[in-house]
Amino acid sequence: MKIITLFFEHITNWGLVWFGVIFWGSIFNATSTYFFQNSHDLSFTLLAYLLGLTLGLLAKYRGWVWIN
Amino acid sequence: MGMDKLANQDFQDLSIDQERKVARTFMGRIEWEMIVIGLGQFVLWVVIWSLVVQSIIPLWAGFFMSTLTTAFSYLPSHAGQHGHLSGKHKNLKWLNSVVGQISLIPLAQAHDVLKATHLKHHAYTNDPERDPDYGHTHVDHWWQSALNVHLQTGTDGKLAKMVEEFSEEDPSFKQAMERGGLFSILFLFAQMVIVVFYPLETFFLWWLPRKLATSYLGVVFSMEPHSKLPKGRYLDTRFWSNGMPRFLNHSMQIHVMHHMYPNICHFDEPKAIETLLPFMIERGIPGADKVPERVKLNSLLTNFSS
Repeated sequence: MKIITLFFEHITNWGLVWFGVIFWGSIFNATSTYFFQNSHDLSFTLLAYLLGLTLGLLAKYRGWVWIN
Repeated sequence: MGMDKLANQDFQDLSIDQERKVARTFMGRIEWEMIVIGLGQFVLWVVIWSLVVQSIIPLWAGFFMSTLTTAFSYLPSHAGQHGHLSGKHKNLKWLNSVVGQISLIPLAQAHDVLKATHLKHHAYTNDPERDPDYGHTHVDHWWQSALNVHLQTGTDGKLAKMVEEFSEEDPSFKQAMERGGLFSILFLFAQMVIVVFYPLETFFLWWLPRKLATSYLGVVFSMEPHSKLPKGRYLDTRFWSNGMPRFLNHSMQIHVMHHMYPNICHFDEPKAIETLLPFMIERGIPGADKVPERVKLNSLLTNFSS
């Protein structure tokens, strides 16, 4: 029961950040294939997910809930 | 015109009791149309996904189609929030939440959350401190409503404070928010899982359509009927027109009927208005004096300036 409570607390506090990393990171990664020829490189993928993380963190600390 | 009805002997008694008696004749049926729309638009949304994923239709076409179907996803939930999907049949009450929740999947919203906040909107319409819709309703331009409806749910925002206060004073509200919160988390995870496999499809078939639909809802369902009106049962909602056919505005031009009697089904509102118009004029409802005798599928546009 405590684990579930902790899980919900974590999602409540960090859900937007996870959403930024996974949701927006995946979209940035997919979009990059249309703009860069070597977008399948690991560095491009990492950059895309890093951008997602940045957006997620900005969303958390600036209250940008619209990203979800 | 509606004023003619005042002269009719059947409408001489314009008391509140008589108003309620007349209104009650329009209540209690199962609004099957909303069940069809709610389940139908969801099935269409799934079909659109399927067609795009299989490359049968292009993503851009799927985006336009999904935006259109998603615009239809809120109203069936709204009908469920007011018990229209079960009507007077207590054994069918489950229809309200089940169909309401299925219908909201394209919007990724929890039926319980929307119901709890919407009922507070009815209780405190146009109250700056208590109306959850106030932030995107009382604005100067439609685009402010379209944006504010997305920006208002931040943890530091006024809406969050309202929700906190309602939760403290109303246990059933708190329970509904907690129940709905589970669905919200479920939607969060569902999008994060699906986007890994279908990133652009998730963006163009789910995320973007629901954002556009939410803006549409903010403007047409909230701002147009309530903007800059005061509090008060007969003063907080107006008849309006933006020149488009009523159907394209989800009939929100006659939303005033819903605020007067929320138990009257959406599809029965035109008939109810035709009958109750003398009462509406008598009560001074904004725009009631301009409503034509027959409320047809057109936009009332000849009688209103937008």
